[in-house]
Amino acid sequence: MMGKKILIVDDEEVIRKFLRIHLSKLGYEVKEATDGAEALKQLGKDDFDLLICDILMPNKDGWQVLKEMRSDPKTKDIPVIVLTAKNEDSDMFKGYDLGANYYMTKPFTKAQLLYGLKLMLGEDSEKIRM
Amino acid sequence: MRIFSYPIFDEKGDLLSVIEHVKDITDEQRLQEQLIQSEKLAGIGTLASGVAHEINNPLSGIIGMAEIAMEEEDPSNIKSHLTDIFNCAQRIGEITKGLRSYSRIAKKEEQSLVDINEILENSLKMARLVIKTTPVEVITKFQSIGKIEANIGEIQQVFTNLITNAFQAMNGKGGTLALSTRSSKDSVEVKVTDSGVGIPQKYLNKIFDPFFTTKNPGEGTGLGLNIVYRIVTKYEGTIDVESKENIGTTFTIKFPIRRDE
Repeated sequence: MMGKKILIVDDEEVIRKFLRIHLSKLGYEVKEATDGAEALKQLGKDDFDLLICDILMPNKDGWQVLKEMRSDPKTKDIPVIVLTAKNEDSDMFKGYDLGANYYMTKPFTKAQLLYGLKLMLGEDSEKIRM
Repeated sequence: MRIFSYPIFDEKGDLLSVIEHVKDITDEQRLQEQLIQSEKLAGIGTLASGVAHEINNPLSGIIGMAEIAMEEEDPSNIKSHLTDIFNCAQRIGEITKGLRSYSRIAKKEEQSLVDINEILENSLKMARLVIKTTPVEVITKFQSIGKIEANIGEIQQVFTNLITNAFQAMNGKGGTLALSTRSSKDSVEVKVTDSGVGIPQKYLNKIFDPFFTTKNPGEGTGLGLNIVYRIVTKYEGTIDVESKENIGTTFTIKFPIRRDE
């Protein structure tokens, strides 16, 4: 599991903070971005194994991030967990249509996050204990 | 009833007779009232969805930091996690406080002395909940102004509608929203100025008409500004608009101050 790199993009500092604490404890390398434009910049520069992406953010929103990264050969295959307070069915369908791999709504628990990680990264369930 | 009068003149221009056409507009008015009510409900729906979104973010912070605090063994870290939880809870408190004035909308006939500066601050908070992603610089210049006697919910609705429109006019691209208040001897004046797309000249005399909208289908009912107009004129106020395409729009609202002799 060591060495896998996850990018978190969310304009809420507290959400980035507890995701960072959880993921670091699990041994992941964590990078952060505060808006969509910054996330795309980091995705272009570095190699990531997973993106955890908010939707409503300044500059570029999560929809735009999904659109742009799915049309870029470098980033099109990176798994994406959408993590958003937009919890209407239509939002979820839009997320999947744009290429999200897993759609999680806020508020959420650590157990839900770990389940998403297990699905996306195929980690051994012994390592990610729920 | 609506009465239409058509004067008929002879060749010299003297009045011969008048044709009076009396129309029963009860149904028309009832329909308009119903539509205004549904616009208000639609507004509450939009607001509720914005509020739910805005509460779910700090709520996620509370749940997430609480889970971390429960696993944390170092007391100094626990204090920092509790501070995060406290701050998130306070944010939720601010949001619910802002909603209180909306509950007053239900009490339609109740009037009180209304502080417009306070209403503007509150309307701004509410509009930001609905339209979060537009990066807008807000400039406020509030003078100490007299209070007006009105229904607080209605005055709140006037400014929430105008400020929400201003944010929407900036179309997600950002810009500046200026809110100012001042008072003269007998009135208070509020200006709401945005640096948005502006209103084409040909539409300026139509914007207060019911059902007139330039928004896409499903995005606007065309009743927002009509409700603003109806409320402002109900309190014997005036509303003026100046707009230039791609530069912006200013709405100027004046309410008379009632002075106790």
